[in-house]
Amino acid sequence: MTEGRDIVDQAIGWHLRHAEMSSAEWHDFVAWLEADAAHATAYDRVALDDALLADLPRPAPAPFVPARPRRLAWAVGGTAMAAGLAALVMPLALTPGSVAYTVRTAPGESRTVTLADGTRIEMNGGTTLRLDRNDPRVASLDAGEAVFAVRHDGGKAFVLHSGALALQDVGTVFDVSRNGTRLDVAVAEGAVSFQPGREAILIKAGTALVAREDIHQVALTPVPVDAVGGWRSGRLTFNATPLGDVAEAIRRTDGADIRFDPDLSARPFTGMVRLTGDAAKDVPHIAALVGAGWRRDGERWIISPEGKAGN
Amino acid sequence: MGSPTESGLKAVFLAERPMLARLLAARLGGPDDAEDALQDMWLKLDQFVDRPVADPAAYLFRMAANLAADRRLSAARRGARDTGWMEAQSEADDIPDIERTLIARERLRQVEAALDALPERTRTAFRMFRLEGRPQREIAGTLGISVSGVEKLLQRAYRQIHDSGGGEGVGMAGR
Repeated sequence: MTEGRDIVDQAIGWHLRHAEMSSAEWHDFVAWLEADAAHATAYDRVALDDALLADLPRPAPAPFVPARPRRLAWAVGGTAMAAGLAALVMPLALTPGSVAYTVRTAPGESRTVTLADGTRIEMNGGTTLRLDRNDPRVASLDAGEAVFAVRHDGGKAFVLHSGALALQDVGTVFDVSRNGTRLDVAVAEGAVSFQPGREAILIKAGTALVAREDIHQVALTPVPVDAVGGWRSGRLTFNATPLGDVAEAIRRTDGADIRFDPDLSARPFTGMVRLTGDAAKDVPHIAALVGAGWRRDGERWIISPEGKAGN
Repeated sequence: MGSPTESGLKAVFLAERPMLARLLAARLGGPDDAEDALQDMWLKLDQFVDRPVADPAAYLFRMAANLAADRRLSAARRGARDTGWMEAQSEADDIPDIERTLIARERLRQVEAALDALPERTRTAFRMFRLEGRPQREIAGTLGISVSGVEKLLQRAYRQIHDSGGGEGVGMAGR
């Protein structure tokens, strides 16, 4: 299959066939890689580019997505963005006969949902969750944060989707929050398997995972078990979280519209914040923690570097 | 754990181990890295439950190839960082690095530009294959062309992406 083409084209040819190669063909591939250092180098370039491609923004509703009428059920009532993010997950999440519904909380509102199998989901404010009436073992977190106390069933794992990422319980209590392309998972009990299909990473109790869908990167860090889902008692724990996402987390709990100045919003913040639920008290506290000033503009609270002229 | 499926996979792993080691050594640049990656694979097999695999050997080769790609990507990003993107940062591995993002973004921009420049049908085939993870046979059905036609389109798309990186693979040195 390879004669007459240059090495890069050969490398691409092999790469394209990976998903369908038999073990004999894999042996041939290894022999090809070993035959010439230039083969290995060319293939490496192709594979690196391909790994980066995982970071490409997911296309918005695509004209060629297969016609699956039931997808519409998921999209109904979802925001355009949530529907777009979830588009690729849907075919996985759906089983024939699924009856999808969306549960949403406003910022500052929290709500507990109990599924048919006994699994309890405590939703923080500003959260959108898609569930299936006929299948309590699958859920999708499109935005916001929730603590999942999953009733373990050895016969059928609970799978939580978020964007293109997925988590599978191994009998567990865990907190998940979604901020744009960043997914935070913290496990209080049991364990959760991240990306169960391909290259599973096991997240054990006392561990937090940060996945960045945009740069295809995952980091694991320890987290105190009693800090998991701390928002339920007004305690928010952050681990190198950009301040922009900190603002979003506070918004979920306080329901207040808090913005960080663009100069600050990318800055990572690590530590715990205790919230009273009253933005008038919480905003000055947070501003002091990050060494910044604050002001109020109607319903919006703005935290900006001390001395920066108001804009 | 300890289901029959799992031990089956492990048995296949042991049988294919020499060839897996050769694949990993060719991809990672040496037998030491290959051994280390094999250890990783073995540990991952421990976590496998309830997932019957159609062709276990092919599955393991794919797993090894994916693992190698992940390692190469993080090594490349590390290499790019070490060559002056930013001063050493002691806890760099624990922090989603901003400079890693920058490197990836730069290359991603090129990739996106390359994709935008593709003819629509080629771009569509590529998107369905790489971003939606659909098999080539299914793409062929949707586009109304043969499987080898799909392969040609994908081949062209990957080639354009490759060529958009210029000579040195943009911050992806460090083998």
